[in-house]
Amino acid sequence: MKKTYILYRKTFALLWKQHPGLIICNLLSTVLSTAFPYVNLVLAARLIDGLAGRQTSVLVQAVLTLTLANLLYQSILSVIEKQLAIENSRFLTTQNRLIAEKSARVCYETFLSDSFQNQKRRIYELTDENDVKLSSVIEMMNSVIGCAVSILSAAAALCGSGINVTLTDTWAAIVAAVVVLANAVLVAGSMRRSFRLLAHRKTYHTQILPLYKIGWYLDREYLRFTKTAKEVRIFRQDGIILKLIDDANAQKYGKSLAYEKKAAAVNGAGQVCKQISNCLIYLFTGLLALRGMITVGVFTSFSGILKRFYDSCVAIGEATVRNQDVVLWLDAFWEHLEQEDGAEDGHGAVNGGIIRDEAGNKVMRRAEACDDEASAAVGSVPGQEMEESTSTCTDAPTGSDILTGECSQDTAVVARNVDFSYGKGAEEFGIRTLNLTIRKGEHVAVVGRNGSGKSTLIMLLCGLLRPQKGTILVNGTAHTDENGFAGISTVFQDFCLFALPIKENIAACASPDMQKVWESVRFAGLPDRFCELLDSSLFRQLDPNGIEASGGEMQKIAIARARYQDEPIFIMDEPTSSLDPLSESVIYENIHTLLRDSTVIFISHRLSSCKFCDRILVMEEGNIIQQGRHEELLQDEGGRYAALWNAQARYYQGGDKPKAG
Amino acid sequence: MVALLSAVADVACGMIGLLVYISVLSSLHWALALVVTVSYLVTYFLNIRAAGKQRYYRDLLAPMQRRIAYIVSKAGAAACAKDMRIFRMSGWLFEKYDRFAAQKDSVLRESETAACQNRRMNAIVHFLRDTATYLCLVYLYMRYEMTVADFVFYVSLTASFSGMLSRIAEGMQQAHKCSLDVAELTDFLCLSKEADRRKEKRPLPQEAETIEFLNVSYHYPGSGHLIIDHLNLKLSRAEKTGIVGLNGAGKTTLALLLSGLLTPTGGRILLNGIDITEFDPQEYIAMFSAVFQEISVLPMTIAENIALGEADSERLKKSVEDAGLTGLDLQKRFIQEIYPDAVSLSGGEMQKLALARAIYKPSKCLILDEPTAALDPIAEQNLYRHYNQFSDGKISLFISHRLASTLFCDRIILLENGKIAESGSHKELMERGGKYRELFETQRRNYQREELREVCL
Repeated sequence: MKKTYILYRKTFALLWKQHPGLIICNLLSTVLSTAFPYVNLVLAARLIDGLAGRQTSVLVQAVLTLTLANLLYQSILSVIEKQLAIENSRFLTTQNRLIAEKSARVCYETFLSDSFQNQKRRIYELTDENDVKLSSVIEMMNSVIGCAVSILSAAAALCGSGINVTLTDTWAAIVAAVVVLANAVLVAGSMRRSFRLLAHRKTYHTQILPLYKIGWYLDREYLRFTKTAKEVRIFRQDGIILKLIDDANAQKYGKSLAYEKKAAAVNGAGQVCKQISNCLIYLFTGLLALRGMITVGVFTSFSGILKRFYDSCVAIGEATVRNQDVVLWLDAFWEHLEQEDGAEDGHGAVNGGIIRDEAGNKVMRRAEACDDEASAAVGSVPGQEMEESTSTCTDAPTGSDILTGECSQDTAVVARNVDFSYGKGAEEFGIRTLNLTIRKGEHVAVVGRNGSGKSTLIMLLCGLLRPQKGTILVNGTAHTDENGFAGISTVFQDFCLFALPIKENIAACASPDMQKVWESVRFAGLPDRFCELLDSSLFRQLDPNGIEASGGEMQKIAIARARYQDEPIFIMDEPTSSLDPLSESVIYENIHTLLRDSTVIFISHRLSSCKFCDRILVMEEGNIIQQGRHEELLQDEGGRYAALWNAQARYYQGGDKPKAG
Repeated sequence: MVALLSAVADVACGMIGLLVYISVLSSLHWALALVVTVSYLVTYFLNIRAAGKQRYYRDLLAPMQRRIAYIVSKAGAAACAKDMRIFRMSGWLFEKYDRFAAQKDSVLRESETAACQNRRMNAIVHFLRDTATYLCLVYLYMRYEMTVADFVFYVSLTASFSGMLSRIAEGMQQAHKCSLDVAELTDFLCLSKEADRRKEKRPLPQEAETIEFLNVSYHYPGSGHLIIDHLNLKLSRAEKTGIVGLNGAGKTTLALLLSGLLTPTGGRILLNGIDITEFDPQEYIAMFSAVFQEISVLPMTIAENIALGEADSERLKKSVEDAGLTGLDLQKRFIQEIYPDAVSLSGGEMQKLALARAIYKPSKCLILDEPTAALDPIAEQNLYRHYNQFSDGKISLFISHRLASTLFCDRIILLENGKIAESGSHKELMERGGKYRELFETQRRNYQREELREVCL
């Protein structure tokens, strides 16, 4: 109960702050639409009662009152409904924004984590299943208020109809008691049935969810976009796709049938109960009328009021059942929204690469020997948390020599004893005990086989992933926020561009500095035709006049975007994989000349780009196994670098043809 | 479609109710029936006009909704997560979101105001009709032509009438909207039917010996720019062909035309001397095996994705080895949104999987479009080593930026602006000293050891 109260309170507070209009309109709409039918009933009763008097003027007056009242009601209601529709739409925008913003602002590791993604998925699943949103709390409010208004209106209507019923007549009293009791039983019965159906529905949804998702995925993600079209046709995937869908549907059908039968039974029972109740009510009021205790007009209004009252009670029962769905959704929603960074997976509060729990004490991930000197220097003093996060190179090294040891004004990146793994098992280490110092202005290439840890290293250097052990300092500071380290520009292998104007894509803001944009465009070697197209949107998704860019052009735009930011450190992961030799050579030329003073770290499988680097790092299984300039590394003829180099270079020297395998 | 049926049912019920009502009233007094019919017609026309307006607004709002949904999906997408943080894009994106939302809001306001107007007009018509009906009933009652019971009956009937009327109106609107959707669906389904409505198709030949491009041109619909410009090319089983060229030269488009995924806008393509339009297009396409630059997988196991169905384990093993995709548990499934224990592969592994898939499929022609972009040098070399094997006996096309790969092609085509600029073996092209040589030298330059002189080829 307490939990329900807290959830509702939080939600109402949020809604009241952002959309007070929504609550007010709903309130007005409910009050009006619940109360008015009673007014209608009373006016209709007056009209019927006036028949006895046979006075035209009285009757005409009654008619006009009735119809004018309806007109007024409809007019007011239509205005409220208009406002309600607008507020609803605004509210949905807000709700979606909240969830999207959470995803955007949470730190990368948390974003990737299973629990975060599952939470989000759960919210969407529950929304689809039960049609619940944040504003469902208002729906519940409507039910409660509706019922209250109903009761009040009923009471007022009864008084207004001038019923003068004294239950001295024993028959009337007995019948009244029986009717009330019977109706109570009916209402309770319908509530119980609804709860049972809810339980069935939950089981049903759990069973069909994966089946439903297959169809959803194939329709929404796989077949909807052009990028899969080629593969679908060449590999004749239509057969297998249809089979997947048919299998899923066949399974769904059986379960759906079972569930729908139950639902139909419950509905049917509900209708029967309603009619029984109506029957009883008419019996009761009819009895009163026959005994002359009420007039004909009062008979109509009284029975109408009682029927509406019964409906309100049933509605309360339904609302209680619905409340369960709403609470489930709200719980999922608020849990997601209140998710703290790094609060799960045992990381504790992450701070500049040192893992601490809430008390500020250093936490070890596993029962491993603590050979990390940094932790020894820092871990024993819980209160030093703040200092560490803002440690810069100018701080005098005090007992934490190792930490700031190699760090000087010249270093761009320092990594000390860094350990990182994606999974929880010790076998899944991505990076092991890595030590690295990169000076400002150095151009470094990172090479290695697929899966050697190059991309993981890059992510650690960006600050998107945080090491489980060890520290990373970038530009002299270990401070990261949810965006990683400051002062870094990147081109990832799987970069992302948006269906928005190209110039905005390059500048990553809504009002770009055109001078810088042109310069970036030139840097990336984009063809001249692009300079005229900078205002157009990229892709045709949102704008039918958009520009479709080829893979190479998209890569150049991503490079231009990195250049625009003009940060001291450039990190690139396969920046030229889609580019032809001439374009590629232009990029590397530009990197070496125009970015001469910046620190550049890049991963490339095309080892030709390594030749002009100040240093090359060769990675294997999460370690740096070789480091040095190109010529030095080639000297070691049995080494990994030489093997990689020769695998490529041989084809360019002496017309070597690959041996037939 | 289901909505359409229920909407039609609603309308039908409403119409029946209306007819019953009119007949009941007309038995009482003709004026009543007249009042009802007139009011019905008026509301009908009001609603038609309102429906038109709503359609207009709906069309206006649809792209706005799409834009808003786009930002939401991108902000939450794993693919964008890194870039969004590094470039601190959330400010920009949410600014756009707010702007799109504001635009939608103002259009919605207009739309709702129009709807509100309509409802008020309807209310006025109701008022007039109900007043007229009730007054008529009172008149009849006063003239002793009706009892109190009858009066109550007719009053209740009138009260429920407006409910029936709005049901009809809504039902018609809904039916109209649904029929538009259904029409779009049938149009869409007919698109494919039209393509099949051609003459009898020839069966495909047993072997694909040659595929020839005769004066083939291609441009995207609505654009005059020719991506492939009057190209003549003959590919045969006997020689492996490589395609090189700058970005935008038309290499991928050429591959798409070859495989039948695109139809030339000019010229013809011949298979074994026969125009390919005489073959069933689906069968023709199915002759090919390909690895393209973008790779997607289905929600099945890795093995099922490679074999696209039940896997023949021998064949599967060979394909996996040839592609270098060893070391993976092939029974793992894809797509994390569906299966929580799903696997996710790196760029290099995906490329190897696509290659395995292409090798597994028994095909007559093989197209590889930049199949090594994500592979490290040793994996790349592995592919070149096995290339002869798995392209044996097939018409094969290899597109790449890495000119080293063209060394093992018997013939190399240099595409420039949709035309063949140079063609020949590696040796011939180097001797010619044209664009190809320039490209090759640009790449080779950086692989030279300082002490080596330029090697004569």
